[in-house]
Order: sequence, then C-alpha cells, then structure tokens
Amino acid sequence: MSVDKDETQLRLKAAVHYTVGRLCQRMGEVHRREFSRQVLAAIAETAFRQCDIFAKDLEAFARHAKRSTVSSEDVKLVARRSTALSIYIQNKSEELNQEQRDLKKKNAGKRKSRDTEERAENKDKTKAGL
Amino acid sequence: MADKDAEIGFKKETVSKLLSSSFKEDKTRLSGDAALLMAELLKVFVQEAAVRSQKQAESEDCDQVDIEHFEKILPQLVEGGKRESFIDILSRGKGGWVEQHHSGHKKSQRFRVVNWRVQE
Repeated sequence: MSVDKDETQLRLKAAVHYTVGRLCQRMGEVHRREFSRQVLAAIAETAFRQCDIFAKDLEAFARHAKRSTVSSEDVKLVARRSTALSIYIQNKSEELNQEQRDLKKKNAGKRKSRDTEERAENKDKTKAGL
Repeated sequence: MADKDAEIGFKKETVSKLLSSSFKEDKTRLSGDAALLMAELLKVFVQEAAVRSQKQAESEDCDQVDIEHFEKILPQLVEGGKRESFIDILSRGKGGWVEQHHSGHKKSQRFRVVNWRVQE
C-alpha cells in the first residue's frame, strides 16, 4: 500500500525534524546564534536525504562482504571519508562493545550467584524434608 | 555540557526504519549496533551542519542563521558537493563532456583512458 508507505515516510520525516530542532536549539544556546525555521527544515531535509545515500552504501558494503545484515563494520566504512568522523565512530563502536562485554560479565555474575543461591535453597528444602 | 549533549539524539528505532526504507533488497537488515552507530553519525552530521552554518552567519555578522548561510556550507557537508568525479562526467548522458568533445561518434565506440584523458 503506497499510502501507508507515504505515511510512514512522513512520520519518519517528522521524527527527524523534531530531533534536528532539539539539537539545533541546544547549539543555538551554546553558541548564542539561533536558527531560522527555514534552516531547521533545510537541515532536516538534508539529513533525511543523506540517510538514503547512507543506506544504499551500507547495503552495498554488506553485500560486498556477503552478508545480508548491515554491521558496525559497514558503518565505519561509511564514515571513512572524514578522519575526525571516522575516529569518532570507531570510539563509539568500541564503547558499545565494552558496554556489551560489561553486561555479559554482569549477567554471568548474576547467574553464578543465582546458582549458589538456588543450591543453598535446595539444601534448606531437603533439610526441611520437602 | 557534554552530558546534556548525550540526552538529545536520534532514536534507534527511527534510524532503523529510516535506513531500512531505503534498502533495495528485502533481505537486507540492520544490526542493533549498526543502528546505534548510525544514530550517532546522523547526530554528528546535523551538528556539523548547524555549527558550520553558525560560523558562516558569524562571518557575515548576522545575528540569526538563515537559509543563505546553510546553502553556502552545504557543498562541504555533502559528499562530492559540487565537485564531480571523472566517472560522473563520463557516465553523464547527452550534453556531457564526452558527448561534447566526441559528438558524431557512435555509441559503440570504445574510448581508451590514458593518463586520465579520454582518447579514441
């Protein structure tokens, strides 16, 4: 249904516009130079269009690596043109990996303590003759 | 200030839907990590656009950032901007450089590329 598709696109555009507005409002406060509504709309439109280009590049990179799922490696490639951006994305990627590693450790720790707790409980149960 | 920056950003779900809608193939998916990173990338993209526009407005002694300021910095922001690559020029249709300089030749004519110049 192309009508649904259009609606989705409009909603996505609106979501982008909203975040652009908030980001620019913050930047306006920080640098004390605010943006006209036209500029906000233009930045949002540009970001929206740029996503189309990013998406197609990402898909191509994934396909080249014989994957059907776009990974963070593909994102790093998209960011390669600008050194500063590339480094920023690289760091974010490492942050994400670190967070996941920490989360795994936490869960593993929880499981261990849960196991010992359960064993202690079972011990008590058998003692109580259950 | 850095903490406040961290609060505002694109939602993972929004970015995911946005990018997915542009994929050519149905089977192409976006990993969770990739979606998060792209959200960051977009945020930086917007911030770059904003800051550069502000600097342009500043250089013109304007209090407010207007559309002309943004238009001026746009080529730097978007890849390739106004510069055309050699491939772009070659693959352009009628009216392109190749057409102009080699009009009258059949389409099947093969061109050799030597030292970045097109020769018959």
